Amino acid sequence: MVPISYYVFLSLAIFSIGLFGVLTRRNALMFLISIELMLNAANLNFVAFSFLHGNLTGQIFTLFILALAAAEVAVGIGIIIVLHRTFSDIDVTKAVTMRW
Amino acid sequence: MIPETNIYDLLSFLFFAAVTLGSSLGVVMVKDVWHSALLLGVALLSIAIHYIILSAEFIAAMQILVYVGGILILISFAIMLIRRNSDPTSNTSPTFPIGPNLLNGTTAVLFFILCSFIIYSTSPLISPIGFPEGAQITTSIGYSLFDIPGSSIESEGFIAAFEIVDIALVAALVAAVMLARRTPTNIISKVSFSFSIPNFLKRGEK
Repeated sequence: MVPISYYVFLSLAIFSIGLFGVLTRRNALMFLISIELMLNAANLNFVAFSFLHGNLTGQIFTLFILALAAAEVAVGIGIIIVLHRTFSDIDVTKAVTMRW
Repeated sequence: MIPETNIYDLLSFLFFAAVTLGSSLGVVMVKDVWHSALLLGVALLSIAIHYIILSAEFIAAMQILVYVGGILILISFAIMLIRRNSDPTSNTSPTFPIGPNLLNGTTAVLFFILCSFIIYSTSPLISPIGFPEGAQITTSIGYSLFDIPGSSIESEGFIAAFEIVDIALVAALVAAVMLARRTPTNIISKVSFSFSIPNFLKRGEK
């Protein structure tokens, strides 16, 4: 078995890639996809530490995060469709009517 | 203590880590949203393989069912819905200019460097305990979810969290339907109109 710190590095890299996507892209769908990457990084950490300690709590937390990610994507896609209907664009820098 | 690492374990980890990292980088680097959704599918499947390596087979199955079978389908559905309505000249394709995004991208890279330095300097290379040989992992997950005694692996009970997630899922799905419904005010006014003027009154007016 490889050491668990390898998995911590892997999930840190996936999380940073998701953060990079959130910070640099302007498409609202790309926000959603990058957030999925970050959630998967957290899930990978939970499963790795569950294996490290021989305790099932991390795996059950991963199941809950899976369910909440499904809910989050459903609401997020509803918001994006409303955004597209209102502004006829999903560029997040153009939805500025609520600014100030 | 330094754990002894099997060379095949290390090779399989490195191969699938390379697949995961390459497809994740492709997700945020590719210009087309549809291509990045497909690459997200590759990344999610390789993460499911990592779960199987970490002896979490049930989580891997749920990952493939929920993420690849549900969330990815929802995202591709949204991409197709939004693309069909927009004319090809509008700016729905993601823009990736170097100038204003240089600071943001550098911030993410610096975050990675800082955190990897912290992990490298603090985490010892302890060998994982793992689950005992022949342990019923999926059965124990079921017992622990409903807080029933009989789990062969140490865990906590999650019956309250299970119910709360149930309510949250229903609320989120109803909210998504309410958000995405097209012009709900028209439906309400149509219903009230048919109630306010019955048919026999219309005939009398004629």
